[in-house]
Amino acid sequence: MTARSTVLGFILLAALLVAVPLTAHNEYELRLFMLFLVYAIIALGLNVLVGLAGLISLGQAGLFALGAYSGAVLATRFGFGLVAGSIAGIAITTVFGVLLAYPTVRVRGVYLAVITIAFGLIVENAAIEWQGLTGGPMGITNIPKPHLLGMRLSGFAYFAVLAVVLFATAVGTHNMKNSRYGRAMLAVAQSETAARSLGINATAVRTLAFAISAATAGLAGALYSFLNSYISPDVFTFSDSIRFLLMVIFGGAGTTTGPLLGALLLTYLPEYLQQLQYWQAFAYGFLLAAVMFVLPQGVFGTAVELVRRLRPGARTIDGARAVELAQALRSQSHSRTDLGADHRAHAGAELLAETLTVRFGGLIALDEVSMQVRPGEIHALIGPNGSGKSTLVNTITGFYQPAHGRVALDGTDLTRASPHEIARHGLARTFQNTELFGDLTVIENVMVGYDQRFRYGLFDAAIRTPRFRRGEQVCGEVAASLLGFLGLLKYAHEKARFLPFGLQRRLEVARALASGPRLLLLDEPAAGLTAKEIEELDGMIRRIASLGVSVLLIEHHIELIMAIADRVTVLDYGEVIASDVPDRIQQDARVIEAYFGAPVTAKA
Amino acid sequence: MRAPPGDMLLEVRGLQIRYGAATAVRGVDLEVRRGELVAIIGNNGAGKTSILRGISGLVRPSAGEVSFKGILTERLPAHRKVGLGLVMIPEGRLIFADQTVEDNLILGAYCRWRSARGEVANDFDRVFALFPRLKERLHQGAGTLSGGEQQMLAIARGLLSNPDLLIIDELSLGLAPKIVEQLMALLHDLNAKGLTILLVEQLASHALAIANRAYVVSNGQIQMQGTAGELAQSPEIMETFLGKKHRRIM
Repeated sequence: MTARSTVLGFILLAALLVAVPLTAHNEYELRLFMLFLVYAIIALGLNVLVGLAGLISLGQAGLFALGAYSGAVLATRFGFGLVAGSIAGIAITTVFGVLLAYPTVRVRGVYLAVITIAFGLIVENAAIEWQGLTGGPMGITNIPKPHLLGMRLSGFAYFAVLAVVLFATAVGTHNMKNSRYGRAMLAVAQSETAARSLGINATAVRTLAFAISAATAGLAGALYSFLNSYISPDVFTFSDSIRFLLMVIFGGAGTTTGPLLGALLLTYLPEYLQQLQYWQAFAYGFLLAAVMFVLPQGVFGTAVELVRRLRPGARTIDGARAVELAQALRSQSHSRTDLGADHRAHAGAELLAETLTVRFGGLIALDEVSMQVRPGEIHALIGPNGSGKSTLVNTITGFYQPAHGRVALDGTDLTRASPHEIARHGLARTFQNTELFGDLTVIENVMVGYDQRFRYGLFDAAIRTPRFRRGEQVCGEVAASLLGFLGLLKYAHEKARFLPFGLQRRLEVARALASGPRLLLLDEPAAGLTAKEIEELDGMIRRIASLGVSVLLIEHHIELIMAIADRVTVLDYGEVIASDVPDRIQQDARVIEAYFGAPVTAKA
Repeated sequence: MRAPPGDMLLEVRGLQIRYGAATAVRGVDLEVRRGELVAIIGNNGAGKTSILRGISGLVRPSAGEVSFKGILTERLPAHRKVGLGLVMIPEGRLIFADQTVEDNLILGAYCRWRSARGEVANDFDRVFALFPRLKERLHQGAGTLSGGEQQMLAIARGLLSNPDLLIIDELSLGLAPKIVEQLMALLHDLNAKGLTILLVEQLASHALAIANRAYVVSNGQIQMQGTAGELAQSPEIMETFLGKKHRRIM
């Protein structure tokens, strides 16, 4: 979405928030709209979890209840005001949000949904049974009218408070979506493996998404308790949780307008359907099903998709701008930024694997494997299929734990480190079966690669501080020049999954380079390329190495290896059977037997 | 020499495939006769995989005809074409990694539920004779196989669908040279025994070594076609696909 239409959208939202109280005919209409504002805050927060992080919560009403009861109890018993009550509500729900994120370490999808349902039911029942605190089924009455700065807030004044909070939530979540945090969430949702290999802590990212969705639900709860001055368990039921999730999906998950629209429709729709009396529930269900069938990406999501399809020209203009940008950069001779290695040391890193042993059950996949990639060299790893190359790669990059042995990068022991920690030490990789973020654009994929080099925080992102803008600017430039280097600029705004396989491989290289690595691990980069493309790859790898990045190359194209590798290590049945310069590897009888199958003719 | 090619098995006329606004295949004519081994070579993004997807019914062509055994099939969904004997082994193998080798093979014969039990059982024996390794690993999860074994499994699964035409997308992808040699030799044998094969392959030298004829695809169109021998001698092919010491400075 362009900057102009974003600004226009927020002006429209502000206009709506001003116009409604001016045109409301009676107290009831105003109240209904205020209820919408509360729901919209929940939906915007839940969208971060559902639309960005790709997780599902069917317990959002539980968090809403926690916020509401926190506000109500603190206000009635301890005299907390609006601000203090809201802050307390946010704090308490955020803690529970973080706790809810913990199961995602182990479970996803429907299993996670069940856990969140359980959470919602526990909260609902606690509200009913813990009569001493919550007033049981009767709830809490006489919640004092909200005060702000010593002033009692009337209906209109409280409307203004809600409107401002909603507007701020919309701006904040929208800005976060278009920052490193939003990109990281989308990335983790699409390929956790790739995200971790780029230095993104997937658990932390999911916890953040849960915390944001919980904090907004808590805030909405506290605001609701002051709005209503009476709360009881029957507005925090499982079907309310479903409704909150529907608001996000119905409107269009992953967009900012979608959840707002969904909240609006699902707040007002039941009111209009009341005329249908006992047909109401049926009509509501039927409408939902019909709309979701016709508009699978939600009302707004599908509309955006349609506009994109009708105006394919819009993207090529962006692409042209990117070309200009890259040309400008090249003329400024930013020879190092274009490989993303600007702030790193000039020499590549040394990788040391010592006596690595990996067992799967009774099977020994790696048996005392040792190898060394010297600083700045191009080191090839070859071996028959099933010889343990992939296992070795996954052990070096932290996805498997060795039974014993050691992995070190420039002397730093990384044997027990997790993949994202290893990535942050300067080891970047590509994947044998490409692990791109398919629904992100090509340039966004590369920008995710840059993630660990950002220096701005969540607060900078939410209000777009100068630090945020500078960081994003540099990231965009690095990404554009990397795309230029790999010949992908004209695809910059295509979704990655639409690229042909060979170009997807190149995009993975660009993404890995964006992290500014000192060692690049290329897992079968030539697979599926033609001879001419392999020659281009040859030049590309040499150029990468010349810029001070050590390269570990796992490959089957023997001509490529012989042409560019400084040294070659050969694996067979989980053991190193040779490690030497290419010429001697070609003559090695064991290697010929295990790998080439027939003697390779010496190169002219 | 192999037997002379028989009657027409697959005939593609004016095939056009679009993805949204982009046109991936622009008017491709292509034919495969019974008993032939035909190769399609071309750069990444040239449209090779799209052509195969159009033939096998995984995407519906926006224009053109695909006739198989004389039946116009371009409107048939992929699963119906398998029943007709048009079987594709997709790029990247796409075995069912969480199921056993045996389950994968049984699923290969899924479309033959009407066939006599003995006939299918014979085909299982034939496949095990070709790939003894698969018999050893029958009850192992398919995802635990090595890359070469997975490609063998994909071929075996395809053969159990009882194909009249076997379409293979990227046989060599991610395989060690020794395995590629073995599998290419195997395709050559299968073809010699009468199986018609349409092969998309990046390793043009290997493909041209076993094919009767080949098509060169570029930018969604057929750029050249001819017998494998003719094409292997063509200077353009040599430069682009056979990699004759043509170093480019980036």
